[in-house]
Amino acid sequence: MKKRDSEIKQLHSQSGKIRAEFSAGDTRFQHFIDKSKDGVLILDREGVIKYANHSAEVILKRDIEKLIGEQFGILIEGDYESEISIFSPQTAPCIVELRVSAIEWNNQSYSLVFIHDITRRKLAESGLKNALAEKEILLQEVHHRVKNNLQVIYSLLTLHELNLKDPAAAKALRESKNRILAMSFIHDKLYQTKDFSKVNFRDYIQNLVSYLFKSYEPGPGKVRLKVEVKEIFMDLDTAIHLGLIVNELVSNSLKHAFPGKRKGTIEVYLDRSNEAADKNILIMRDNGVGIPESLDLQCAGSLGLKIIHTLVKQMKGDIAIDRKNGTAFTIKFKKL
Amino acid sequence: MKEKKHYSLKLYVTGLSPAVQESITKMEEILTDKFGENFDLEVIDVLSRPELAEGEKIFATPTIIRLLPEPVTKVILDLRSKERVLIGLNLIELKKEIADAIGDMKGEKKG
Repeated sequence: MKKRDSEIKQLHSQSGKIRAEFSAGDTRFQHFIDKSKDGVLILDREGVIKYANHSAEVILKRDIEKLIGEQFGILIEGDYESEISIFSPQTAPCIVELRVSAIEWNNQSYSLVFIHDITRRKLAESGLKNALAEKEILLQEVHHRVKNNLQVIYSLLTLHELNLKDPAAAKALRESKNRILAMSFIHDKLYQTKDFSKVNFRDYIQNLVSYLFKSYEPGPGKVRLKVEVKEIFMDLDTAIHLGLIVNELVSNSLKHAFPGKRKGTIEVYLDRSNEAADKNILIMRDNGVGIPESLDLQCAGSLGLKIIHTLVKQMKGDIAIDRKNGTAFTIKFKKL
Repeated sequence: MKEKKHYSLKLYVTGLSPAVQESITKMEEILTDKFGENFDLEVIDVLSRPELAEGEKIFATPTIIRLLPEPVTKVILDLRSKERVLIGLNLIELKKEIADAIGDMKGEKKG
C-alpha cells in the first residue's frame, strides 16, 4: 500500500512539473491550445493524463483536478482515428474521434491526443441511415404492388380468354398477357433486390425466356434454347423496353419458325458492343423457316413487329434483320 | 472457489448493440487463440452498471483493463478494426518492464 502511495505522489509531482514546464514556455502558445475547440490531452506511457486543455474538460465532463494524474488509458498511436464513447456517470454518453501521436518531452515519450466531439455528426448520420432504409422499404413496396397489379390484370385477361369463343381473339389476349408478364417480371426482380436503380438483365432474360417456352409449349426436344447474356445491369426503362423486345422476338420465333415437326434452336445473345463503349448489342437468332423476303419490317401488319420497331426507335437504336439460315435480328442500342 | 486464471481482463462498453456483441465474440476468439483457456473476460456495460465504471475511473469506452497479471494496465480500444484490437491486446500482454525498456531505449537514442 505504501509503495502505491509513494507512486501516486511521484506521479503528481511529475505532472506538476510538466504543467510547470508548459507554463514556463510561451504563455501565448498555451493560451492557443486552451482556446482550441478540440480537446487536447498529453498522456504518459501508462496512459496517465499529464496535461488537459479547457475543451478536454468540457468534452470529458470533468474538472482539471479530476483529470491530471488520472489513468485515462493507453491509446494506440497511428495514422487513423479511433471512435470511442466518453463515459460520465450523470450525462448521456457522447461519441468522440481520437487522433493520437507520439511525442517526446525531456527524453520521455508521451502520447499527444486530440479529441473531437462527433456526437452531433453521428446523430445526423444515423438519421440519414434510417431515412435511407425507409426509402428502400417504400420502393420495394411500390415494386411489389406494381408486380401484383400486373398479375391481377394478367388473371383478369385469363378469365376473359376462357370466355371467348373466337380463337383469334383468344390468341390476341394470350399475346397481351405475355407482354404484361414480361413487365411484371422486371418489377419482381426489382422487388427482390436491394438496388432499385438497376436490373440484373441476365437473371431477368433467363426467367422471361423460360416462361415463354412454358407458355408456348413447343413440345419436348423440339426447340432448344441458348441464352448467352453478359452480366449487364440496366436501368428500369431500358430493361422494360428490352424485355418487351425479347418477348416479341422469342414469341414470334416460337410461333412461326418451327412449323410441323421442324426442330431447331433459338439463341438470345446480349453483350456490350465492340464499336462504342456506351452501345450494347442484342441478337436473337433461330434456324427456323425464316421470314419471307417480301415482308417489310417497317410496314408489316404484325403487331409484334410494330411493337419491336417502336421500342427500338424509342431507344434510339437500330435494328437489322438477316434472313439467311433462319432469322437473326440484331439490335444495337444505348442504355436509356 | 473459482479457478484462478493467469489473465484476468475486464472490458467496459457502452450499450450491448449487435455490433458490440459481435466484436466481443471476435475478441474472445483472439484471446482463446492467445491464451487458450487461461483467461477471464468480464464484460461490463457502463449504461447498466455506471457505478462500476465510476469506481474504476472509466473515462471512455471501449476500455479493457488487465487486472492480472499485475501491474494493472488500462487500454482504450476501437473495436471496429480487428487489427487495432490485436495491437491493443498485445499492449495488454506486454510486460511493464519491456514497455519501460522500450521507453528507456527511445530516451537514450534521443539523448
